[in-house]
Amino acid sequence: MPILHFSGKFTFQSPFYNNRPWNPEKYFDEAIAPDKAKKITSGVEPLKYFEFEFKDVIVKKLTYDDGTSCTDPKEDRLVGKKILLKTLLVDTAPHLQKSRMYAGEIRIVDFFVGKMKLATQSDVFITIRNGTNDTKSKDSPYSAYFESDIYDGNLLENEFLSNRNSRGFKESDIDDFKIFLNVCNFNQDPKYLEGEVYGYIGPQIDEQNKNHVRIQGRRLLIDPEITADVRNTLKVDESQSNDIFRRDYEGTYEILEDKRLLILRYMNFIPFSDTNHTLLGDYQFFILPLNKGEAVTEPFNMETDYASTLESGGVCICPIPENTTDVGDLRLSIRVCKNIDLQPFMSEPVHDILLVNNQKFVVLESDKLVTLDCIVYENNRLCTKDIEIKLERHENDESPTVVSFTSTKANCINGIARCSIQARNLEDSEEIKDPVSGYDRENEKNKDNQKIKGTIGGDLPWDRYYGNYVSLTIEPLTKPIIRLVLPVRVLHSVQLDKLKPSIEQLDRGVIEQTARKLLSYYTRYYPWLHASYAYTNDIPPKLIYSQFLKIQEFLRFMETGDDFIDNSDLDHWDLVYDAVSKINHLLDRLDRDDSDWGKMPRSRDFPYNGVQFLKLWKISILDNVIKSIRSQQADIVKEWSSKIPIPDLDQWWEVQDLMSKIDQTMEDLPLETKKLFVIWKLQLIDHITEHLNAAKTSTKHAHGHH
Amino acid sequence: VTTHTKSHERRSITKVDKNIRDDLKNAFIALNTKDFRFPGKREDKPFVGGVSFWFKQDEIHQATHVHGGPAFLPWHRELCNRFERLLRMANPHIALHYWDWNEDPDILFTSDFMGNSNGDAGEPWLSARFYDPDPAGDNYRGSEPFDPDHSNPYDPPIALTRKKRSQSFHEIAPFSDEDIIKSKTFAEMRYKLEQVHNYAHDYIGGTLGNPHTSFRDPFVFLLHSNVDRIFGAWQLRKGFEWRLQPDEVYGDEKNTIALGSTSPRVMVGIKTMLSPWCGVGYPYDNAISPREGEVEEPGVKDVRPWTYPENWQRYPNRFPDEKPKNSLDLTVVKPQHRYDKFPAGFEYNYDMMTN
Repeated sequence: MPILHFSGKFTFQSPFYNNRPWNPEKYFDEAIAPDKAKKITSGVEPLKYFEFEFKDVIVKKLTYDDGTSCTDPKEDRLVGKKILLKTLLVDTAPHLQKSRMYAGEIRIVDFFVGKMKLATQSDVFITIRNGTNDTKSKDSPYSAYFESDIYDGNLLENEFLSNRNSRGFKESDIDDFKIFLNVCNFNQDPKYLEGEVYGYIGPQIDEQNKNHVRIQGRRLLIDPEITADVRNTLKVDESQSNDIFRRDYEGTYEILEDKRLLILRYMNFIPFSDTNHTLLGDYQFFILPLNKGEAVTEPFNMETDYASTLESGGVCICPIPENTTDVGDLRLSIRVCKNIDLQPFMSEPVHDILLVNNQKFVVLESDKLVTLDCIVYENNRLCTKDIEIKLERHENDESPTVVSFTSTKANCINGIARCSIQARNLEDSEEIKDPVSGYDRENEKNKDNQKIKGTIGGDLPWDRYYGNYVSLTIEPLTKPIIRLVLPVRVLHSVQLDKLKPSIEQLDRGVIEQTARKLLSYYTRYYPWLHASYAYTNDIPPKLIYSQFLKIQEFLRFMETGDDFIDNSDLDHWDLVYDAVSKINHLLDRLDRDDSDWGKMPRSRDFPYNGVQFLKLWKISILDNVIKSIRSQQADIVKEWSSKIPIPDLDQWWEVQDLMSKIDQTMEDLPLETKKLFVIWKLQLIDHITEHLNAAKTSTKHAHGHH
Repeated sequence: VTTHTKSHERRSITKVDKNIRDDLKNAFIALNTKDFRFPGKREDKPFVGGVSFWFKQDEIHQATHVHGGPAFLPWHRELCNRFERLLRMANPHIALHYWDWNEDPDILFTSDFMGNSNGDAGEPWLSARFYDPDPAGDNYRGSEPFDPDHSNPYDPPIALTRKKRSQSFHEIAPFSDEDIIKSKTFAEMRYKLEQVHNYAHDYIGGTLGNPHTSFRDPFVFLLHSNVDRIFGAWQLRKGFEWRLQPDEVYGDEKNTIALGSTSPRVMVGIKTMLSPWCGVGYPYDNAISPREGEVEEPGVKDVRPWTYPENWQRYPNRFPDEKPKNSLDLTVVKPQHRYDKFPAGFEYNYDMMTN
């Protein structure tokens, strides 16, 4: 299939309002008009919390299977088509900003529709080196990419786009699309909340080819031979980072072996002086392919100016040198040139490390241990040497350190390094250092005194988020150091086995406490979540926000006992129905597949066993009600069986007899009483129909005893 | 074909002769036969085809969510106008008559017109397969509107029920027709009218009472023809001729755009393109940025033939009625059909009705 280069803008409604653990809890307030509410949420529309959407993103260029390209819609009607992408962008945790795109839906108008698998953000790079410019003062200098396969894709051949007017369409194959998108220049000004997006849609590529050579996601890092002049002009900073925010540069590329092309993604190593994409210095950039370390072709000129980047989507496609027969021998070097000489800038490191399946984050249940399998590459092949990998954990300002490696190093055997991480028991923790406890609001402006470290222990607060970064580092003799930093979120876990007897008994204390814990994280950090627009009953009606998932109200009802069903309420079926509806209302948003757009965005980090707790609670209510009804039934039988023969409703003829008697009895009754008899009769009809239907497949029969 | 009024006039369904009712019922039934199906097949991907003209109405209504906001009236007007055009393909003399909710509808609930008022709707809809309580296989639309396994619009619903209340509608309606027509602004009028409309749905109840299944019941069009009539009455009051002007009729709400992104929690604005008839991706091509708000309803589902592969809305020469538009379009602003009467107590510009 062809490569579809695109660029444009994106919007992102980030729910960052009040999501720091030292902030006091805030509440949803229906009385605040939407315009004012949006000022509170820094311009974010609560109805679109977490939504990431393409805006004016256009296919700018096509690169065909033979490496030639087209930028003119008159030559190929696929050029100029609008790309629509909508997805939920949810971080691993508010302080572990490795975001994940869920439930993505993509469409290229007139070309195809499909869905996007989970895409996880890369590390974050700072490519704007001189800060922001004046016109867009809230632009962020960060840049990162996402990459994911497309599934459930369908081509939309029609008169507007077909084999007849588009070579790109002709070369397309719906089974193997993927999307790569680089996001940058996000403007947090409430008026905008948008950034720029560059990327391409192309064929899916496995990480390794059939010879186990890495052909996807090969990295380029700062060349150890970089000169002082290049280093200074391009503001190179190789300081190590303990989180995902990096100061160095990184490029990646992949190889399309069948087309003998390589695709270099350059947006995270071309430095700009400002958000207008003004290039730093006056260097030109070149790709120099190397075969067994030797240059075998002329350097390939990269066009990285703004206009070219808009057209290319921030990628450079160049051919694999003709005399490279094994891509395992191929490596890339990025050179820069001011006058005549090419200077080293970026090169492929000898080693690389990544998790199996390129997993980029971990979510772990409290107190659990998990094994991580890592792939170690050496010169793009599985590393056969015994390489030592340093394992570390890193502190942060918003959570105690709750996850650690079980050892300080791991060794690579046949390209795989295995290590384990252990999560702290969040429900029964020993006293540990906590950067949030004791935070001094009085002195929050005094940087030196901003966070007074305290400690926490026992059942750690459920309205907090927990997790920290861990890193795996290879320190070879020569630079660069190779490091994989992983965010690990640790989630609380409901001890369902322990609580089960109390839940089954509808023990209010236990259930209320558990439900409150489960939902406290949402009420504290996302007070404006689950909002929708509504009109008041005033004339003229006023537009307001209303909350459709009323968690606070739900918790308050439980607290006051008005809405909590315990064993004394089992005869009040209206209350039972109401309570079950409320639990269903929550479950409906929680108990969905992660790829479902309707799932509560943050419920992808709902405490472990939380959904099971809600289900068990609901079942317990219903079981208790059924038990109570059965007990009433037994009482009826006990009271009446000695006085009258109670019909056996399993015997069809007895039901028929009963219905005849109802008909006779109801003839002279007043209308209201007749209504009761009609209901009774309808119930009997339902009952007997069910029996008759069951009889179609049942072999149950009676034997006479004559 | 029975003799109808000369001008496709929409009339009170409780007052017309039986033969006019019969014609209307027969036209409804015809739209669920093999002669009246949209292109394609049940199994088509990515968008289902072969849907009968009748079942298409439920598909359209479910694919969108134009309630509780400024576009409620114009969108439903467009839906009724389009449906009436379909009815006329079955019988060119038909008009979409209305149920005046001040009239007792009981006479309509007979087995030769609208079916039962309580329980299963029964005949005439059962024989016409407007629903199928005993489907042979698994191909049916479930009563639960969000049942993903039973949602193919090609299939008949498994149930069509009603639960009509016993009292008169005017006893429960929150506003009278007079209250609505007296409204000074569009915002006030459409709010009141939609409230009363909600009560009317609940009044008939059953399938019609659920906003996500209501367009499975033919009675819905009698109800919505009346909603459109009262909207028209408000517009056609003498002395208020500005209510027929696109730039003026909607008052403060004229520049509203869609809010939200996920159905059913979206609010469609006056500038929003009427969906699903405008397709997805308007204005469709080559780096043209649409004017603010002039995009399809957020979260709308694709509905054929206004998507791949037919894309009727993209061929204005072949399908002039399918040209994409929003609520500001004159064909939406101006009542497209003549009504026999408007609520008493006001003077109306009857001569300004299109026909």
